Amino acid sequence: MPAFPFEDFIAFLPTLLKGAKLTVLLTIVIFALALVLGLLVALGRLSRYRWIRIPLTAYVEVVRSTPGLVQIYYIFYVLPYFGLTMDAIPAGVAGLSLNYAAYLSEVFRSGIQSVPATQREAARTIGLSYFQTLRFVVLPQAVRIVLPPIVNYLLMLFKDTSLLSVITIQELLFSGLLLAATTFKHHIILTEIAIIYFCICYPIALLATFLENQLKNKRGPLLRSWSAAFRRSLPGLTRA
Amino acid sequence: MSDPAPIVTLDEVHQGFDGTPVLRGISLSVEAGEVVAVIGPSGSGKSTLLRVICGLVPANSGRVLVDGIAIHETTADLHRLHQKVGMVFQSYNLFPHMTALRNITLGLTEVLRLPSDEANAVARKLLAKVRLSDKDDAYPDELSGGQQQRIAIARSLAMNPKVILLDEVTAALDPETVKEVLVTIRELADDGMTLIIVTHEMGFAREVASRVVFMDDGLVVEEGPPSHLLGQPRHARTRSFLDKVL
Repeated sequence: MPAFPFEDFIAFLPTLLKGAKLTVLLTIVIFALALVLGLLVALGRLSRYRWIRIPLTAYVEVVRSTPGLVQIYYIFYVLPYFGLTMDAIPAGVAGLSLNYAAYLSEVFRSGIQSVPATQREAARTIGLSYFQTLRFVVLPQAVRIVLPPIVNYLLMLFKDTSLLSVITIQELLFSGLLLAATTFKHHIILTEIAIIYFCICYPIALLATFLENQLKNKRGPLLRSWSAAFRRSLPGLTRA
Repeated sequence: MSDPAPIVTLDEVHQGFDGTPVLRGISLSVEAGEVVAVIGPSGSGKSTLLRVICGLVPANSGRVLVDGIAIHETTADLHRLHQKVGMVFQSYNLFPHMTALRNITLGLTEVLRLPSDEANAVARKLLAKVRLSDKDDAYPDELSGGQQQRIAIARSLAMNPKVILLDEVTAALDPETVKEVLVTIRELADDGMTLIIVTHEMGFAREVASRVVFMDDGLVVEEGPPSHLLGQPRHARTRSFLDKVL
């Protein structure tokens, strides 16, 4: 067994960390977009209007029933045939955002539906509007249920950004593959890539487990102290 | 102060779900300061009646007027309606993620746009009224059923409504906490609040109501002062119901 190649390991690190930086940035932007879009899709699918529900349901089902990789290829390579040409990064962000929004919308939908209808009725009888009911009554209760699966999706997204290597985005995996193509040291570089992914993902996984354990306990201190801190920090928003 | 127009008027109100009629032509009028107890067997439409009055379910036909707002019309200002009608539910329906105080102030700060110190002052007064001043910081799951229900009553009072609807508010309570809630309701009645109470507590209806309405099968069968309706009912259906429950 050869000695551990420290020199190569150190030499490749700056390039790979640059790729990792792009991976982190992509994850943040895509996840933020997917959260907003996913919430809107979930609300739309709970709408009483069929003309809102049907297209959104179709969107979710198409996304869930085709591979994410195909969706990314499609947006980058096929949409130009229909006159929609995008650079790699916008195409990749659009592809993964749309993909994750579909999955997150299902998480949001189950969370919102888990809040009893009687809560919405009580909110209406004191005069809250639809959006006030959502903001003050439904979403704060749904968050407790959806937080652990959402953190899991964040974890999956972080790794799934490697799919964007296929459309020439130089995130962590692709920057490593390019490096390997010129140095032929795949064994070192891929090991290094795996270590970097792990070092970022494992803390997120621990966070997911922690949240899950906290939320199992209805009277757990986390959300209560959290919401108290939230109230203190944003007096104008919740005014409690 | 005399108020010639009734607070609540229903005129030939029909309501039903999926073709099953629940209300089959209800006419009822409630004056300011009246305490109306609505009694009747399960499924007679009592709860639906309250839900129509507070705008949670629309009437299929007929007219519903609440303090001048015609809520059967599609242009009705339901937002204003909800400020005139308070509703208290059998299962309390407090917001579990908010303290007792916040449950009461939510409508004040978000609907009436009161500054938080004013809202808190109003809420503390109401907590004192329902004798739960020391529970301002408690969450619903830290309170007994009777305490939760009294917080729910305080929450409905906060919007300063013209009428409060109470839907079997003691039905889910332990027997020993029923009384504290009934006392709170009697105090509201003594203050002159207009109340429409759906209840199975016949003794309470007799004691606190100025009028009792007996409903069966989606219709008002008969109505009158408690002594008449509960003592000498005119209709056979009222008699057979009272025989079962008294």
